[in-house]
Amino acid sequence: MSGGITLGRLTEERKAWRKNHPHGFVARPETSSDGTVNLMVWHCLIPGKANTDWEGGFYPLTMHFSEDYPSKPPKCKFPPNFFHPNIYPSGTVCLSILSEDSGWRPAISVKQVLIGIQDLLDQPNPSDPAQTDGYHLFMQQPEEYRSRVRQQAKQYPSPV
Amino acid sequence: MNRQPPSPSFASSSNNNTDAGDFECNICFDLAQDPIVTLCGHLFCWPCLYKWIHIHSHSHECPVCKALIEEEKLVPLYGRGKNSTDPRSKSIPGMEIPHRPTGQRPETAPPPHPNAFAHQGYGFMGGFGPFGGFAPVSARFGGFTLSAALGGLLPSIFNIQVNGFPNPNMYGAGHGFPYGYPNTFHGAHAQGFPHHQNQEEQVDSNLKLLFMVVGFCVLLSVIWS
Repeated sequence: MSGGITLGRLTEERKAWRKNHPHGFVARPETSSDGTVNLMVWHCLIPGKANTDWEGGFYPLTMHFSEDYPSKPPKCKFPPNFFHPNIYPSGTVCLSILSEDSGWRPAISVKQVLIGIQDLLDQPNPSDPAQTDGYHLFMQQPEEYRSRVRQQAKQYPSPV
Repeated sequence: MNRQPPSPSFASSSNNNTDAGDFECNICFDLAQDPIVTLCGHLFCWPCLYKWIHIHSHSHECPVCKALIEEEKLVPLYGRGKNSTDPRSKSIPGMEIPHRPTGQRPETAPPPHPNAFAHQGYGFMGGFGPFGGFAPVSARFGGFTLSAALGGLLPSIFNIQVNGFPNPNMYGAGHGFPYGYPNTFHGAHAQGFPHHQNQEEQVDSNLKLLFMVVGFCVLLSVIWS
């Protein structure tokens, strides 16, 4: 039912990703138990950047594409209660380039989205908090904040 | 099977990266269908871009750089291949995509100009204009004064030439003037040189006529006497 553009674009995204993607990242469409591929949902892993408190973690992210993609951005979700100032308790990522009304453009690729989220992990945006826990620790107890981040990195070890 | 070493597949994939990548729609990421380019230079399928600017974009902004898009200023790309493809071949359910905006075609470029000839013309004209019967000016051009004196015989030709110069007085005053009226100079040049010949020819014929009359009179007087 979804428009030709959406599935066509997702097919191209898949092709481009298989051809070349940044080291350590994983992104693959959902495959149901009977083997059919659902291009509308992608399961991804974002590696924490080296030399940051996020290093060593491989953070699972799910991208949900709507039928209006790429006119509208995908919804990107970490697991619920993921610790980060700009991630809602539901796990939804709050990032300008993922906002339909501000930074999203149809030309932004899946790769750019994932790299943008990786950048956000280590560089939270204090002017746009999405959860109280992460935001308050980040603003008021930097040491405690860093310890929580390192702790979380251990929760998501390398998949291999 | 054996005849295909790994290199061709590598080549084709790198081709996709470099060559085809330049011609992929920035919305569907596929080879652009009914390609159209914005003034900011970004390439799209027309159906993809149409859907964006008419349904989703808040202020008709480029899907790549957010520059303002004006539909009448989009440029369609017409390649050499078949252009009979249906613009709606990439169908969008429930949407009629109108035909791509057509290209705007500036006028056909003018043919190359006969430059060398025109340049010589300017030099000539300095002499010819005044020669057209304005005595105070023509006096400066010694070589032509005789002709100027005889010019009175040929008012009709002079009229034509004078018409080419809207303000003869001004012309006489301006030494650097030749570049001011390129068009009139072209016309005048084309006529100017022949004028010179015509005048001499007509002077000749007048003289011949005079001689014939004189000769006829002499003949008559001889016969009379």
